[in-house]
Parts: sequence; structure tokens; C-alpha cells
Amino acid sequence: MFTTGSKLFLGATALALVATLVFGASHGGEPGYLGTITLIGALLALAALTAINFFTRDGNTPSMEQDITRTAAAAARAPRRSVAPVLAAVGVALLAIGAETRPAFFKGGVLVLLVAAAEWLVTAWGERASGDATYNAAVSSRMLQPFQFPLVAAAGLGLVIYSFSRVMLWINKSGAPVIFGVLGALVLVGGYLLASRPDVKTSMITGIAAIATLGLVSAGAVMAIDGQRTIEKHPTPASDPAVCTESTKDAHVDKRAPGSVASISSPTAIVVVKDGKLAVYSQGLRGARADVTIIRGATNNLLFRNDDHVARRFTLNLGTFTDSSSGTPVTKKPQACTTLIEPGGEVWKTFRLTQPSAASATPYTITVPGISDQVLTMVVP
Amino acid sequence: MTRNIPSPEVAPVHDSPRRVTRRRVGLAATATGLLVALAGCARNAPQDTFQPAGENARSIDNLQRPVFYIAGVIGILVFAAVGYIVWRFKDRGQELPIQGHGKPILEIGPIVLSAALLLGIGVPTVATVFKLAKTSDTQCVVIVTGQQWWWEYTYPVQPGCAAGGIKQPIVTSGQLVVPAKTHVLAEIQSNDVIHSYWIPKLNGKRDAVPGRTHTLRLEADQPGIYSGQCTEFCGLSHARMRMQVAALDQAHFDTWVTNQTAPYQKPTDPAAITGEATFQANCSRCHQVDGMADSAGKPIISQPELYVVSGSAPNLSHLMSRNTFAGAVWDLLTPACRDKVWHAKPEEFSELYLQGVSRECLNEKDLRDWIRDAPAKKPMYSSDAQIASNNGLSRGMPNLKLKDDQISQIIDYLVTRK
Ligand code: HEC
Ligand SMILES: [Cu+2]
Repeated sequence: MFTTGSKLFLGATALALVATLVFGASHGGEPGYLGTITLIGALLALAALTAINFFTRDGNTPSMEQDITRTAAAAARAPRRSVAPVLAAVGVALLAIGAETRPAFFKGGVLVLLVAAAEWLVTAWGERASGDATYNAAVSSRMLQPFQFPLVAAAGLGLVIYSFSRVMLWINKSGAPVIFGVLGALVLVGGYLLASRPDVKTSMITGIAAIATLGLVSAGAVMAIDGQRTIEKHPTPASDPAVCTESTKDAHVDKRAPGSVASISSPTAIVVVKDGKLAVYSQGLRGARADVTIIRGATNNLLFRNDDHVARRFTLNLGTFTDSSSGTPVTKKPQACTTLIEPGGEVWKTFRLTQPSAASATPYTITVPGISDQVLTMVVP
Repeated sequence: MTRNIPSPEVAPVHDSPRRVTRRRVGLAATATGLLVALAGCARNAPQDTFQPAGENARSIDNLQRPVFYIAGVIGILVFAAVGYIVWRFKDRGQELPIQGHGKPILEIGPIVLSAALLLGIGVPTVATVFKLAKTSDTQCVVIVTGQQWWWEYTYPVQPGCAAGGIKQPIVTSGQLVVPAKTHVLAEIQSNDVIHSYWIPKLNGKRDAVPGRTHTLRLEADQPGIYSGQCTEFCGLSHARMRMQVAALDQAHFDTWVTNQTAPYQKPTDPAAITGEATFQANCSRCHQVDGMADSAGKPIISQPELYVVSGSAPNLSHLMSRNTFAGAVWDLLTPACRDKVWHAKPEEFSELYLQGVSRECLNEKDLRDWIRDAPAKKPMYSSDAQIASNNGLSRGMPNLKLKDDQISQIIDYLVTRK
């Protein structure tokens, strides 16, 4: 009485009904409301599909000739082996694990289930497309392979790249380039050797590639579990008065850290300390100056260079403001500073000043802790 | 049923429909060609790249003209050759000619010729690029900041530009005032999105990119007005983001600097005094007027960063020293007064420009409309709803819903800001 298609849709509708009831009863608030609405939508859509399917009797079997679904040549063969059920099982397992642990697993499970469902549906359809097994195989691979190949390739490549990155992050910073330089050379030589011997067996190449991949993936797994090497952090004391007036403190000094910023090619001005003297160089203005005009409200980039013999830091003294809005006047003297810069090093600082010089009781200045007689002025119109 | 197609016997022999269409197409093509050609001959074209008015634009012109002419001649030759070959060898059922197997001279010849041509274009191009990038001969620096939808100019403290240098920074907008015959270096920045600064008669374009400083050389041979417009699409009112360079002779430029750095002049006229208070109450939160102080003598500092996305609004200290406003789109001068200044001879221009805007010459209509409802004049994404959806920040100046008498007071005050 029930055709194959309507059984599928009927099952899906029943599942949607159960899901709607369970979800609706267990979830409150806006998410519960939204989720329930969505599930009701799915339920209605599936019910409509069931009805259509039922009414048209799958669109291919005359209603009176039900036996044909079992006796026809196309239905004569037993189903072939398929990975889809295993894949679906993995998906369900992931769903269960994800529901208890990390949402990422749950999302992965949904994805795997979708893939399994697509695979399953197409192979099942393909097996009964005709009575001719060869034709059936061809037609289902023509449907599936355009999706299978890229997917499997992406997953495989992803695994290889991930393993690779774990290995690189485990090896120490100076060793990694050497090891991978050698590895790259090996790949090149191997490729050359294989190319120069066209008669090598395919199975041998496959074997070598499989062993290499296996090695890489297992090494990656081991190193991922062991954890990556410690990567140093370089904190920047942005506006801590305790640090900005200090000429020696700073645990870490990374001379090259800001050197990688591309915008370093266009600073508003370059501030230099050399032999205990401070100077600022602005584009277009010849020679060293003791003042620099900073555009109010704009993003300004200053490059600070230490050409002295000892480590130095630059401190920006950003005026003096009195706030009397709370009754008792509170005087603030905001500061900002660079890290301690090694001799020969440069540090880049990006900042924005919203108050003009006229609003401050004292001028904006740049100083270097430890050099008391040198002051640069920042003029903010 | 078939359609009624006029048979050859019925149609007039001397004017077949085919010939009529062909003639029409020919006519249309000729007309289009003429129009395109004529468009290049506009006489009043203030933004014509083919009329350089300074050293930098001239270097570009000197480079592009020969290339344009040579490429033009080659273009005509190629099209003529293609046309000839199409006509000469069209399929009339003739026999195929013998198929040869390449002619080295015909293959190598054009390659060598093209390489030589490219080299001939490339070498001067690279030389010009370097020439236009030079900053070491700068005599005057101006920081040019783009924001939606106007340009701000800041003259940093420096020994150059004016006779005694610039001792105190100057901030202005819309019109960039420079000394003529001087190597001016514009340091171009942006406060919000990418804009592009272009004064066709003075130099090529330069993008204003947030977080970067790009330099552009500007030099005008003679005093006068040079127009331009933002050439990088920057949002709603991109088309209403213009600018002018006003080049003055050195003596008058020095006077301009003195005027711009003069201490604040309190208004004396009673109407203007009322206007100052109205301005403080409604405009000072965005617009800075340097030196203006409250009744306690405390300087009034604008806070555009609290109200505008770009964090800036034009400095109005000397509004009436400029000729245009709001992205240099509207005139502050009446048409008659404006023509007198803008079309003056180079020797007379500087003097006339420095006169600024007087009450008689003020184009009050546009200024009034602007203060009454700025977004109606220039779409600016600054309606109440848009500001609310944007953390209270507007792009451009919002409608302040002032009454007519308040606007009159403010204008009475602004007229005194020379
Ligand atoms: C919320 C901030 C804000 C307030 C308040 C404000 N403006 Fe503006 N105003 C701007 C911005 C932003 C511009 C630039 C708009 C443009 O050109 O696209 C501008 C432009 C102008 C200009 C053109 C200036 C020039 O040089 O191009 C004038 C004149 C002006 N405003 C007058 C006023 C007056 C008068 C008031 C008070 C009644 C006022 N504004 C209040 C933000 C403000
Ligand atoms: Cu723009």
C-alpha cells in the first residue's frame, strides 16, 4: 500500500513531529520559539511532500502494479556495499558527542550526516536506475563523483596541512626552516627520480606516497598532543604611568616586531634619539626639528628610532586636563609610551588626539625617560 | 501564416530598406564620432588635463602627448589595415592562396619594433614617476585630510611657505591656498574611507588612504583658481566632494597667513554678538572657532569626535576668507562677485581673493539653506534615524532644526569671520 518514496517521507514527517514536540516542550524563550517555528515549518513541508508523493505514487509506479517494485529487472539485484551507513553512524555519534561536549563536533556531525544522506540517496537510486549493473554504476558515479572528489581531496589535503602545521609548530623556531628546507629538497629530488624513470610501477609510487602521508599524519598527531613550542609574547605598555617614566623596565624587547607592519613606509614623522639628543624628522621639512604638528582627530603614525647606545623608551605626555564635572576638580595627565627599544631598534606607534593644544594646560610633548633636558613638542591645532 | 514581407518587385529599386538602414547607421556613427570629438573641445573646462598650469602637470602632459599621438597614428594605421584586409580578401568564392609556413622577418620584426616602442615609452615614464615622487625640494608642506565629504587643510609649523615661516598651525577647508611658483607638498591622509585628491591642471591623482600618508607635489605657475574633485568613490555624496586650489603671489600669501593666525576678533555689531551666542549654543560642539571663549574666559573646544563618524568638522574661524563651502560645492560669493575674482587676470587675482566675502557679495541663499537643513542640500546619511542607528554619529552635518531668526543671527556672526 505504501510506496517506497512515501515511506521515506512519512518517516521523515514522523521524525519532524517528534522533534518539534520534544524541542518545543524542552526549550523556552526566544531561541525555543524560533526553533519550534522552524521545526513546524519543516514538519509542514515534509507533510506536504508526503502527501504529494502519496498522491502521485512516487511518480512512476502505476498504483495497481505494486509488485513491479519488487519484480522488475531494475529491482532484481541485491543492494551493493556502501559506506553511507557507516558514515551516517559516524555522523550520529558525532551529534551525540557534540551535544555533550563541544558545539564544533555537533556541527561536524550535521555535516557528516548531510553528506551520508546525499551519498545514500544517490547510490540507492542508482542501484535501481535500470537492470544493467554497469550502466547503474556509471550513472551514479556521474552524479556523485563531481562532489566526492573535491570533498575527499579537501579533507585529505586539510589533514596533511594540519599535520604539517603541527609538526612545524612543535619543532623549534630555528630548526623548522632547516628541516623543511631539507624535506623540500628531498621531495624535489624524489620527484626528479620518479620523473626520470617512466617505467616505475604505479603501485610503488602509491605505496611511497601512502607511507609518507601516514608518517606525516602520525607525526602531526603525536606533536599536536605534545603541544606547540612556547611562543614569546611581547607586551606593550601602552599607557601605564609606572612604566612610561621608567628608563629600564620591560621584560621583553623585540627589535623587529613592528618592522613587519607594511604601513611603516608612511609615518607622519620619525622621532629619533641619538647621543642623548632628541629630534623629529617630518616629510618635506628639511632637517631635524623640535616640534611636529599632529592633526587633531586623525590617526597619526609616528616611528620612534633609538640610535643611542643604551635601550630607550619614548613617552608621549598628552597634556593636562582638569575635569570638574563631578564637583571636585580632578586633574589628569595622560601618557602613552613605547616599549623599551634596543639600540638600533625602531618602534611604531599609532595614536589619535582629540583635544587641541589650546584645550590643555600644558603642551603635548615627547620625552625619553633618563634624558631630562630634551623635550619635543607636539602641536595640535 | 507567413508575414507580409515586401517582395523585391514591390520595393522601390533605388532605396531598398537595407540601404536605408545602412545609411541611418552611417549617419548615427558619424554624429556620435563628431560629438565625441567636439566634447574634447570644451572651452570652459576647468578640469582639463590637457591644459597643465604647473610644472608637475606639465611633466605628465609632456609624457602623455607623444604617446597619445604615436598610439593614435598606430591605431589609425591598424584599423585601416584591418579594414583594407577585410575588404580586399573577403570571401568571393576565390581559391585559397598557398599556405606558407611563417616568415622569420615578419615574426621577429614586429616583436623588436614593439619592444623598442615600449622601451621608448617606458624609460621616460619611469623617469617622470621618480620626478613626481620627489619630496626633497619642498618649499611648503600642507597636510590634506579627506573625510566624507570635504577636504581639510592643515599647515603645520614650518620654516617655509610664508616669509617668516608658519609659527602656528592653520586649519582651513575646501580651498587650498598656496603661494604660486612654489613647490608645495601635500601630505594626503584620510579620516574615514579612501578618497582621492586631484587637481587636473596641477598634477595627477593621489589616493587618501586611512592610516597612510601619501605625498603629492603641487605647483601653480600663476595666481588663480584651479578646480578638482574627489576621484575615488567615497559614499553617498562623493559627487559633491570638490576642492579648489587658490594660488596667490608670495606677498599676498604672506598676508593670508597673517590673517589666518590673527587672534580671535570678538564681534562688535550687536546682531553679530547675539549670533556668536547662538553659534556657541548650536554649532560649537562640532565646529571649532579658534580663540573663541566662554563667559568665564575658558576656550571653547569643539568635540566632533563625539558627533561625526570622521571625527572632524570644518574649522570656521575664517569661513569668509574662502569662496566656497561644504565640500567646495556651493559658492559663498554671489555669481557676479565670484566671476570677478575667478576670472581675474593672474596679476589681479591675489588681491581680489584676499578680499574674501563681504556682506554685499555673500551668497546668502545657499548658506541659509545649508544651515537650515544641510542634508536636504547634500545627502549625508545624517537623519535622526540614521544617526541613532550609527551610535549617535552622523556622516556630515545633520539638520539642526533652527528657526529663521536664529539662522539670521548666525549668518550675521559668520560674516564677521574673515
Ligand atoms: C553634528 C556636527 C555639526 C554641527 C552641530 C554643525 N555642523 Fe556644520 N558641518 C558639519 C560637518 C560634518 C560639515 C562638513 C559637511 C560637508 O561639507 O560635507 C559641516 C559643514 C559646515 C559648513 C561648511 C564649511 C566649509 O568650510 O565647507 C558650514 C558653513 C557649517 N557647517 C555651519 C554650521 C553652523 C552655522 C552650525 C550651527 C547652526 C553647524 N554647522 C552645526 C557638522 C556639524
Ligand atoms: Cu571623497
